[in-house]
Amino acid sequence: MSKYDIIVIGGGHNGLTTATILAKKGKKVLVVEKRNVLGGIAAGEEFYPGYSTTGLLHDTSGVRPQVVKALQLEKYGLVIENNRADVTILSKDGKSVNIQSDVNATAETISNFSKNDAEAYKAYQEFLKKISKVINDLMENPPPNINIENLTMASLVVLAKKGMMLKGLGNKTMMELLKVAPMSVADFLNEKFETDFLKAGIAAPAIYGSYAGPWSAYSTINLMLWECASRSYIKGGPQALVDALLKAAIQAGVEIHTGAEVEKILLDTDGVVKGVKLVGGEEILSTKVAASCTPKETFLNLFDDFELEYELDYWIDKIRSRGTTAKVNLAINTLVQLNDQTVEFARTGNSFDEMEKAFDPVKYKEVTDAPFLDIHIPTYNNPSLAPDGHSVVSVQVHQIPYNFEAGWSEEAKKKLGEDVLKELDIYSTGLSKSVVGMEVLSPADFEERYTLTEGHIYHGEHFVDQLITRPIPACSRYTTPVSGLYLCGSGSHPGGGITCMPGYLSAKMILKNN
Amino acid sequence: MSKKYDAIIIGGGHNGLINAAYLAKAGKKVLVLEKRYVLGGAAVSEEIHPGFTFSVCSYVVSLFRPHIIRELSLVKHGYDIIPMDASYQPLPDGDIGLCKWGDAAKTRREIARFSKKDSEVYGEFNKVMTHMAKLAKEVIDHPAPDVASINPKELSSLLRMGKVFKNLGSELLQMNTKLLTMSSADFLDLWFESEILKGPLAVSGIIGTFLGVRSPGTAYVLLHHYMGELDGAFRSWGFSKGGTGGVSNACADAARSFGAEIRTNVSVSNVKIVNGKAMGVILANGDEIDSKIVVSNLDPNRTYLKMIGEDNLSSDITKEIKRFKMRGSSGKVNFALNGVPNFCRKRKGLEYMKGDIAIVPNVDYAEKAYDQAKYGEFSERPFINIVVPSLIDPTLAPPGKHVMSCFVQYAPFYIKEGPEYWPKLSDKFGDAVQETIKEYVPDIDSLVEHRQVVTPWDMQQTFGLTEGNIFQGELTLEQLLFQRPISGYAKYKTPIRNLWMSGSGTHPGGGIMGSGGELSAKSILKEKAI
Repeated sequence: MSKYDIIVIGGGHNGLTTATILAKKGKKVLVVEKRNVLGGIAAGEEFYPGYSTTGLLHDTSGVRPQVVKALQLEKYGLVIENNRADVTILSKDGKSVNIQSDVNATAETISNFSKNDAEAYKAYQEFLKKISKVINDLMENPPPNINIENLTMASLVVLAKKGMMLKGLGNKTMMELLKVAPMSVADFLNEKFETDFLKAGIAAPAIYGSYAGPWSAYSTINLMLWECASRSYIKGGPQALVDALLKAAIQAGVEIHTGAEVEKILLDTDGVVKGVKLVGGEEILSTKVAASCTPKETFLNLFDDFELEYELDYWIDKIRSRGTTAKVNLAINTLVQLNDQTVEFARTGNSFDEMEKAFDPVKYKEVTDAPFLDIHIPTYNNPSLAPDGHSVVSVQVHQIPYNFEAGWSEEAKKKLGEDVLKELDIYSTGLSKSVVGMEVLSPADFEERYTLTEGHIYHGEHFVDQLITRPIPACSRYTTPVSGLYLCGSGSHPGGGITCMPGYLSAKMILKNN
Repeated sequence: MSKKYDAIIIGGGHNGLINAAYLAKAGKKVLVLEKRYVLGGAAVSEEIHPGFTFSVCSYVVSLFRPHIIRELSLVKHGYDIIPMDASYQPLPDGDIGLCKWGDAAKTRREIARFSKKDSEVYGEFNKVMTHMAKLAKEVIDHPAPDVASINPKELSSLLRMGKVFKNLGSELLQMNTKLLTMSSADFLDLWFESEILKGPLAVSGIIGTFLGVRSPGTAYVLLHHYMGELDGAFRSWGFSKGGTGGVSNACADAARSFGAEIRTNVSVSNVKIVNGKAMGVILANGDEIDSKIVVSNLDPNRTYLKMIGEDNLSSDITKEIKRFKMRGSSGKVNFALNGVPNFCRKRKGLEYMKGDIAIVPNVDYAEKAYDQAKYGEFSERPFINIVVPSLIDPTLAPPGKHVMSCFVQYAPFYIKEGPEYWPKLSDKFGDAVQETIKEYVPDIDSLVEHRQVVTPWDMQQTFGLTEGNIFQGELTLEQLLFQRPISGYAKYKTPIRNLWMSGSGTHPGGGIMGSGGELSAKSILKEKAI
């Protein structure tokens, strides 16, 4: 008899979510985490003595209120607001726009340099409002079961409902959505706006984590998903979420082993899951395993060669997860202003052409000299992360390839750090002189430290064929062809970023199936 | 008063002529008006240099629908296609490149020289692509279903499409989703490892679009080109005897045999519209010709903004048509040569040159060509697709001499200096092409007797293709099916009553297929519009 009903591999935000929901339903749950800290890429770390970040990722706007409610995270100290934080879009010539959740206020700022764009911004938000229900419905539910060979009445009803939902948009909005979704984000925004740096800033989230530039087709879908589904703000950032999740997990009776690296998922002679084997040889039995690590890690590394069906291995191997994000954490001995403003979140990009040029070298396994940045200054709201009067600047750097022909040597990382500082100096003169400590993490470091296959922050690219039927059709509803094995990480619907949604939906599916 | 004509067709390209032939065959009185002195539009043969016949724009035939050939008895009217048996991929240093033959076993042996694994996968790849091409054919042979409609007829046509998908099986369905969305380079990476094989395959995904081989959505276009079908045989491309104009001439001949009247050198200024209804056309010289319906074979941009005019359109429609993306990306350079341009002297004989020759040694080469175009320059080292049709059809050039037709991408319509600057760049563009070819054919300079450069600007000015787009509008997903050219008017109709469309800017899109002309005519007849 096994001690556990289920073992969850990985103690990131999704793994903890799955574990807690199952434990709350009376299941005996064990979480095994390879690292000595919990939280995965949502964990804050001290990267330089006295200076900490709030997580490798810093955007928490996608955390879904229903997960917070289901896990009673507010009881455990989480403070969530239903408006996302202001983001300042920076222009190289010193201009900036504050994108706030108040549309009219934002339009007002935009009208300082373009009346057309102020109106366009309102229309754009109006359009997002119309499609928001459809998109959120998609993000908040398990993907529809589209097994075309075996259409059941139940799945037909679900499909029909989705269809009605799309129809509920009204013909005009539906046709517009179908028209723009496959477009490149550059084409889409060029139709509406005229100011280059504003367009670039609005477009940026569409290509974060993507093997794409703003001119790549289908990037508009990602923009819609981000805009419609990213509406929260968590005080204290990802680390605060992890703290609350951990308290909720322990309260629910989840057992957690850190420093426990899974070497292999064990199968019995019928090919059914019977437990996991840790590095060091310890075997822990359980007839169910939920993996929150990447699908490629799960199937290609935690099983022996030829242990799984060839077809499964084939499609898993074909998942595209080419990492394109790096991280630079800066310890600064002063308070930071960007384009003369104190901000918490900021984006650079300046123009589509400049962003596209940052992507061009990725295709040839080279690294740009002029990356564009997604900046978070956590000390803005949480000064305790650095000594008094000092700052932490957490920068996600795009598009920086995992596949770098010359290799991610220390020199290459140093060069990347310098290029980021050069870029930051444009918006904050002399900032590089105030740096007391710096940590550069290449996509290769992501893979090494967080077991992210190819350093991909979303466990697999968010691209049309890898959305909805994510990661592959055979595993798209959290179950897998391996009996007893479930997926619960960002590699599953609705995908990466800090949302806790894959973990939440997976737990519900596991409960439903048992 | 009864009108003299049932239908006036603006534009004597192959689609316009096919449209005319179908209408005339049904007993309608039809008049075709062509602005140029010669028929065919972009499917045209012209003697540009004495003794040499150039297929000035479109240069190979593949997607032409076999049932159109039968229904219009085109063979009787001179439709004659010589199949291409080879497709060659040269290497720059004179090394022996890769030749794909009509004979599959021979092709596999060639591929094995570069990668044994690829030669084994190639057969499976062809099987899968053929399967999916069949699906796509189902789509191009019918008018596009309207997804917004709940009309039972539309639903049944959607269901028919759904059924084809269902019959694919889940494995192929998965591949199909990828094919519809991925970049052609990524899609080919699923299969192959050798660059020399992937390069030319990948570029078939970008022809006529302003996209690169690594741009998502290009894998579908790859299929579009893979559908090449001659007389019911898959994957065979061919040359039209006497140049591509031969196809158009056969269509014209067929149309005339059914009683259609065709006039060249007649420029239409706009459609005559009274109370929102098309009543005929107004010519550039001010003359008016009345008809019951008008069919525009011009691209959507010209049809809506010039033939109809913004005054007759709602602002919504005008906005929609203006966002229909044209942005041509390619040019043509045609050479009259005094000898054979040998692309690989190490190969015995010239058999390997009797098809097309693709200059694209690897995937990165193609993508780099695109990178340059993105920022408003023509590619210094472009992708070039070359044919020397005179090797097969000696009537095209004087004895011992040859014509060489080069399709060149990228030549973006919107260059940095603005499109009007193209005439000043024309020679430089021609030089870049010739320099690129020189890396494969070192003695090319001494062979050239005459060179004709057709820039995207020329395509617009001479052939009436807005922004020089060879497909009358990009073949990207949001511009296909029920959205080609705009949603609500994807069934060959326009917001103006009695004004129809038939060109490549309508479903199913560009290439010498004839489907636009055929499906448009059949819709007109079905609706008893005349």
